[in-house]
Amino acid sequence: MSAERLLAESAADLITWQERLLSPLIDHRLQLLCSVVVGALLGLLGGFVVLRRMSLIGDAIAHAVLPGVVIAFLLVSTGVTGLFVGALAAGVVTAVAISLVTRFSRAKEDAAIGIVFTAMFAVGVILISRLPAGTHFDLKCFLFGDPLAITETDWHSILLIAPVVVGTILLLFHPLKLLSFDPVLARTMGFNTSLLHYVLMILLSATIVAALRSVGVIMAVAMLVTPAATAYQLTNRLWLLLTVSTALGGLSAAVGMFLAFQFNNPPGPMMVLVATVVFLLAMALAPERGFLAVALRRRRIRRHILEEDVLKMLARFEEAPQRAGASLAAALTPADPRAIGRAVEDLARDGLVTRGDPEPTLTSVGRARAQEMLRAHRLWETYLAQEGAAERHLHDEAERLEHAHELAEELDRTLGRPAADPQGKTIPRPEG
Amino acid sequence: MQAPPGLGPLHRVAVGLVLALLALGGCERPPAGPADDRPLVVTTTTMITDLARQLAGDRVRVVGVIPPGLNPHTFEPTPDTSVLFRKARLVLYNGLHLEGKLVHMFEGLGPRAVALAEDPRIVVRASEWPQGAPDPHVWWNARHFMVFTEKARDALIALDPDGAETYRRAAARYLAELETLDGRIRQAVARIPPERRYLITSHDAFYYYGAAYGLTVDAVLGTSTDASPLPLRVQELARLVVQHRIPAIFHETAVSESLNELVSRVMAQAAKDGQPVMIPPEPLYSDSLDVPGRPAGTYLGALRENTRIIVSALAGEDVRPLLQGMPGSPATVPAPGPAESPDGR
Amino acid sequence: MAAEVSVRRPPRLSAAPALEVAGLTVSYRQQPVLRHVDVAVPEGQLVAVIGPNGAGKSTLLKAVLGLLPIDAGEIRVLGRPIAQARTHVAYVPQTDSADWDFPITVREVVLMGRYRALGYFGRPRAADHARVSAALETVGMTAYADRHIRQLSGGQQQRVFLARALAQEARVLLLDEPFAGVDARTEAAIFELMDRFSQAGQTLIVVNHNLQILDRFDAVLMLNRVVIAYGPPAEVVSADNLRRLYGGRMSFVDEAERALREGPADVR
Repeated sequence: MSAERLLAESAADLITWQERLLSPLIDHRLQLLCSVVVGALLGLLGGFVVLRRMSLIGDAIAHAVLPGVVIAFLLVSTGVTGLFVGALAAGVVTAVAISLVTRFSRAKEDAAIGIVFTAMFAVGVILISRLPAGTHFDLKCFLFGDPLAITETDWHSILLIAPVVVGTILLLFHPLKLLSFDPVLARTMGFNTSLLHYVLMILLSATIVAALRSVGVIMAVAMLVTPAATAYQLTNRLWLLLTVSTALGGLSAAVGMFLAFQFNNPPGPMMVLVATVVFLLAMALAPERGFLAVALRRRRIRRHILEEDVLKMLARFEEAPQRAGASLAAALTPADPRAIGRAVEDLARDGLVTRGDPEPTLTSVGRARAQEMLRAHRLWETYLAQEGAAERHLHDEAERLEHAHELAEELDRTLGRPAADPQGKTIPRPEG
Repeated sequence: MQAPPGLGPLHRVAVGLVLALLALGGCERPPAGPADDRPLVVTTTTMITDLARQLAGDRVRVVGVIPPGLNPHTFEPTPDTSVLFRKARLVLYNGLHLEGKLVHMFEGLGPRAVALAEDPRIVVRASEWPQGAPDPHVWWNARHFMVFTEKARDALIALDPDGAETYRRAAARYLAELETLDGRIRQAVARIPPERRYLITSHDAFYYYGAAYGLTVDAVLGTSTDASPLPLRVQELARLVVQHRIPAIFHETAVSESLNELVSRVMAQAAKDGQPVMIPPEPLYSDSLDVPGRPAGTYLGALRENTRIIVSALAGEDVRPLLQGMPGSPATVPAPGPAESPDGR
Repeated sequence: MAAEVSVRRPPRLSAAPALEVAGLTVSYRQQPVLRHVDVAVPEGQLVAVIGPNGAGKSTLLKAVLGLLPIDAGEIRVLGRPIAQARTHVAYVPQTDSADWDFPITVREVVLMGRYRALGYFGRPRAADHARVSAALETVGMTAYADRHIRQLSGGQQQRVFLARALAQEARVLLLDEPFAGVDARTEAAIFELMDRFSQAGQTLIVVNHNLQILDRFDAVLMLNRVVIAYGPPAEVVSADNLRRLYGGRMSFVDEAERALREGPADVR
């Protein structure tokens, strides 16, 4: 839209990037602070939501508070306590209704959730249409938030809600932990699991009301789930998971706000995007499980295998000098000659081969290792032949399995220490 | 020897992503022009932006946050909007809840923000729908706009006392133009046969215009485009059109397609009931001016254009000669162009 | 009619049976799962509960734990109703009922055994941690104490659960299929632990599918909706009883129950 570009250009001229950077801190401090606290609270609760596989319920409650909020709006206008009470009531009604539907119908929990929250939301929308003329309920703001519109009142309500949420979780930490890990055990120990469940639901509803202004309902669900999922990916202890999740929630809010001012985008969705990018990074970079770690590990294994193959091939050259005319590269195709070169370099550095022309030569240490490999290979061939594998597959299979050479000794024992493999080649004895 | 499968496609995607990010990061905005240290005055609607420019000339920098063609009732602020308001030394806005989604921002600005429509000299009417809410469209009465002018002038003088003389002179000149135009409009409307003086539009933006210049006003929607139309409105208006044999009803710019569509439906219904009413190809300017440079790109121009469209449609008479030769009108009168589709919003 | 059981070991501690069930009837969705079950288990016994799928074995455990509403009958643990005896009863669930991806360590799982005593707001203290360490030692999992539970094998998971029951200082342990999915070596190790607990005076009631090791238990409860037999394995485990246990006698009752629920064929 060219008209909007007109404005965007003039605004871009007027506002320097330094002003964009500092504006949240200077002129919009309240909005920034509120958003960060709300993000942190959602992150904290999200830890439990994600662990208990309740993400869908979190989504449901976020939507289902609408009728509660509208009714409160009708009765007490924008009084903040009224909104909280309305939202809490709606949240509890939703949780109860989902349980009832699951128990008394064939519908499984996911269907029950879908049924209940859409119905609540529909009721809410109808109620909005019946608001007396003149009162204005901004549904779009409810759904998507408007952090720039945060006022002192919102700040006060967040100040009220945050300690309640944090305090309750700290107080009930152990029962909640038990409930999340093993609800059956919790019940057998006499804890009222329904009560605990509803306490969580109430905390969730209250926090969502606090989140309404800054990120709106739809984004609140994302802030509930994404930072917690990231923490789940990265941590192994519950208290650590909750801490990371809380920190990430607040951080995503802060960074999202700054980026929104930098690029003139709506802040709510930016916060969600930041949280998501962090999650993707965690997915990629997590130690052990992340893409990067897996890829690095694979590469290391590949290199290791190539090095062992080089050693083995050099030993074979020594065994049968008439074949020595062939080069390593030819013998080890389809391996990349450069990779072979790198393997030789690494082997030389570790003292297993000496560089030579045209091919490197084994050191005594290298030869011992190569003998190990050969032994493993021939043992595997013997074993596979015994187990009935076809002769033409023996070599290729053994080529693969030989690299699990820790099993060689056990294999040798089980086979009764054979002297030669099915092709008649000697099986080297281990030194010492 | 068999190696485990390599990175393959994932590797390429990752490299691609990193390159893309680097490329984006490398893009820079063109360096800004020479530093501009004139005080910043930020305005909201195009009408007020035009007014500020007319009065302030080069002494201050005027930026309007609502571009032409966008509806102030539904205009949503971005972070830039907020930053601009904070940066501004003076903010001129309409008030009376016209800029519905910016209200909280004005509250935070204190005396730096001046609501031009909120003045004891302007008598505000309570809307019928939304019931009881003040009708903010006060500016289409030129006399009200004269109040805007005076308030803006005073605010500019308070901001920049050194320019007081400039502002006073500019204001005086502009007030005179408003005075003249006010009279001409009355004359033009007088050309409409009394029984045809009905102005029916998409939303209730012209009450003050009608009250000032002698037209009965009605609309499909109430005073805020942010609300929904009452049911049966189309039928009610069609009946009105048939009853009074109204020859023309009007579309508006800067409102949604669907809203103008409702006006078209009134036309269809009335035609079915026996009154061949037409909608002129040119829409009226209700909540926004046209793009600067076009005839209706200024307040005076838009007021003139609206009057011309209304009178020629209702009176069947071309009143351009009557409105011609006025300050603010172009030297040659352009022929009316094809209907401009309003920016869907 | 409670069966008198001749026990291998003399009864210990209190005079009241560890578990006493009289006339227990439990339904699930209007279908009876347990009918008129009478069992009395003295303390210190190692009891196996066997039966086909759907026989109500898990239901019995859950009813004893107070997790299910009962239609009729009475349950007493150590002479008291379950609501008052919770501290003394430990539930060792099937290993796949827990979330092994949950971010906690072995030690923390065992610590959960103390939560009953801590209540809603208590915090674990040195004494609690000491009991946890002792329990880990008993089951031989001290080396794994600070490992994440994700890294455990099936047998190790089972031992962690046993340690948890131990930490709870329960006198009656209800174990739901502890041998499911473990190899023979692990099974033997777990059984050895159970035996040791029983020697120490705890009562273990073990739902079990494995018929091979029955002769090592003190008593066997054959359950298929009703008590088929109950007594020492030498007396009770016979081809005849096994046939009655796994055979189709109950299918008539099933059909009759269904007919009663849905109405006779000509009314349907």
